[in-house]
Amino acid sequence: MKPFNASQHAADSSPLAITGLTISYGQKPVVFSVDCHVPAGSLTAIVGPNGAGKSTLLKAALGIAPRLSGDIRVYGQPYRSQAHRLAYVPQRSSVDWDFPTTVLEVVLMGLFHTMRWWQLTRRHHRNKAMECLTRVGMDAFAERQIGQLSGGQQQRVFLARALAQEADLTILDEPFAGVDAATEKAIIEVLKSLKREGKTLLCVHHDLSTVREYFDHVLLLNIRRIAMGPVDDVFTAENLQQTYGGRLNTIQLERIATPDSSTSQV
Amino acid sequence: MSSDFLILSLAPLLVAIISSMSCALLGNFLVLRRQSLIGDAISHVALPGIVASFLITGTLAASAMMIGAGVAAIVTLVLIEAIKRLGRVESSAAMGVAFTAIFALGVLMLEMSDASGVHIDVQHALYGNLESLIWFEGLDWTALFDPAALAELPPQLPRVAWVGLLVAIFVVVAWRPLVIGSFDPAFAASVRAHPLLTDVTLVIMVAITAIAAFEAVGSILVIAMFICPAASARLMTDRLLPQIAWSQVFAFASAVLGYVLAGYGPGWFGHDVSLSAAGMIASVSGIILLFACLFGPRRHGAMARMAAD
Repeated sequence: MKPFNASQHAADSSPLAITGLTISYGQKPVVFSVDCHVPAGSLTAIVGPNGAGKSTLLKAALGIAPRLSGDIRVYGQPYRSQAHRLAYVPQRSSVDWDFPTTVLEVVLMGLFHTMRWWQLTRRHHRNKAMECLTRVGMDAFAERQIGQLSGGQQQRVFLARALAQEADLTILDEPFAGVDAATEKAIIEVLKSLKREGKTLLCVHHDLSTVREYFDHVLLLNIRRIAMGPVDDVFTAENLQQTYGGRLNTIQLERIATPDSSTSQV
Repeated sequence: MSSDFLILSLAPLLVAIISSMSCALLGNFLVLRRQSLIGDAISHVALPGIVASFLITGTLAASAMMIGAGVAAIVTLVLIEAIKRLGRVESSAAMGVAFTAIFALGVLMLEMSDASGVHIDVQHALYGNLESLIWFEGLDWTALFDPAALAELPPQLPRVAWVGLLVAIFVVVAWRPLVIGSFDPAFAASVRAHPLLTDVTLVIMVAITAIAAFEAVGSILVIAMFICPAASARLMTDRLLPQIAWSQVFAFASAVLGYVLAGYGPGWFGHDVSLSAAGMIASVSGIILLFACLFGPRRHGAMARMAAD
């Protein structure tokens, strides 16, 4: 009985504990029997090939994607009661950037929890949103229509909106997809500073060459869970080969999966 | 002259203005959510709903017709969702299939039933009957302050007025979830802004508005007013609140201008007839959209994007 209690306790304290999650659209499972406990205060990457169920897993964690089976706990509670402790940054391509709104108004959406549905925004709301914009280096763009921004700038606005939520756990879906180098640097700086503040971050990531540099934990996913743990332990050539089903060549693998490679190669 | 206006024009003009503005208000969100067809779908399925309610109740009472049309609207929504999920087609295709099929069913029901002696005809449903909203007690301006005379106003006027008020309250109260859900549904779900509930409520509001306006102004005007003013307004500004303000201005202008042109326009050219007011209002809103496309300050962005697609 004792070990069971101990593992139960570990699950309770975890910002996000997923057990036996299966999701299916039609016949084929998109995510099959996945367990995943995100450690508190970690910067965790979800890595896997296209169609591995990475985004679906995140959406299930947020209660957006319907699940066939499995249990999802956020800080030991069902998602519904913990929504205020969680921020979600969807894929940039999932929204219509032609929408008639400004950068500041998008960031103000992050204050949804703190405001009545019909309440007018006040100065302190705007100040708060501006602080978040400053943190991602976008304060000069506050009054711009969002369609006038570059892809990287749009991504930073999304990050600012998540900052405004002051969440304990932030879930990001491919925040580095299609952004410029300056934005990538700005985003990772913000993520690392959040980690230093004790926040937990979970991030779908597609660039294998930066996993070691950016993250401390990793979940290797290809419909099933291949491996999960500290990057140094599980981000190995063998596990990667299994995740990508032999689609990576050996030279690539060696470069990515060797701990010192990122510094020696550059 | 003034009593002429009060008797013949006051009620139709007010009904046209209020219907246009409430449709246009909701239309902003339909256009932004790329759901413009919903207004079209619901206006069409009102016909089978009205016929069915007549077959069941045997009366043409407004309340029975409204309920019939409302039930038909909800059935259509369920059908659209079912086609979308089961057939795995995009939503505009599902809407197109659902509303044409149900509309056709309504026409068949009308022909097969013994409704020939009763005045439900397709033409009426399309063009509406604004001109028939006569206020017999509007003999002079003092009638506006006479409760007995006001009670004789055509019942369509208070009906659209209540619905207009309901729509305005809905948009104000549900403002934040509506905007967030229109822009970013996944984020809206994650902050528990109830995007699905907002979505369904919006469509129900559209159904109520369409049905209330439908009987008086006809489905052509309802469809035009859900789309044209909001689409024109989008070309005027890149901000949501100004867009909504523009849409209200355009809806008001279309109603007044269209009504006046239909009533007096032919006379200016020496023709002793008048045109369908609803048809003229819808045409004016279309012309406003054309001008917004040609001269709206935000047209460059929209056109450049269209070229890029």
